[in-house]
Amino acid sequence: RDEDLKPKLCKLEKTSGSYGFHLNGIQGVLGQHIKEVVKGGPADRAGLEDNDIVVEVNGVNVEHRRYDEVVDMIRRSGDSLEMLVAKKSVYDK
Amino acid sequence: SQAMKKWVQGNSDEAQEEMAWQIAKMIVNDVVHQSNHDSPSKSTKL
Repeated sequence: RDEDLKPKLCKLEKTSGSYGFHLNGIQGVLGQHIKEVVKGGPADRAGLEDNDIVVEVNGVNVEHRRYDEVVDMIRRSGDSLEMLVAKKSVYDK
Repeated sequence: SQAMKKWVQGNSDEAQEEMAWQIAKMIVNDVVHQSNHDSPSKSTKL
């Protein structure tokens, strides 16, 4: 399907203090990805899926940012968050 | 090489000390290397 090949712009609103996903990174490797999306949670409803690569946070490209920086940006975002993500298979193209 | 010379000239305490020192350094280096490579992945609940 075509829509599977596009990056996704996801808008999240915090529910009970959480967006309902984990941000994972690997030390020494560029790029952060989504893990442990809580079913029915904000991330799930916004269309985020496990292993999605984070491209932008609130319109800022984070592909070359350190893991700690990206976590910080998301935390400082308040109660809502906009993320541009791509499936790993799409991102690698 | 310092240790080697001393070994050749006779097995002095100094040479043994030097050898022990070199080995101790190798062990410490290995430990540091190992701990730097443990838990290479990070995860934060958001």
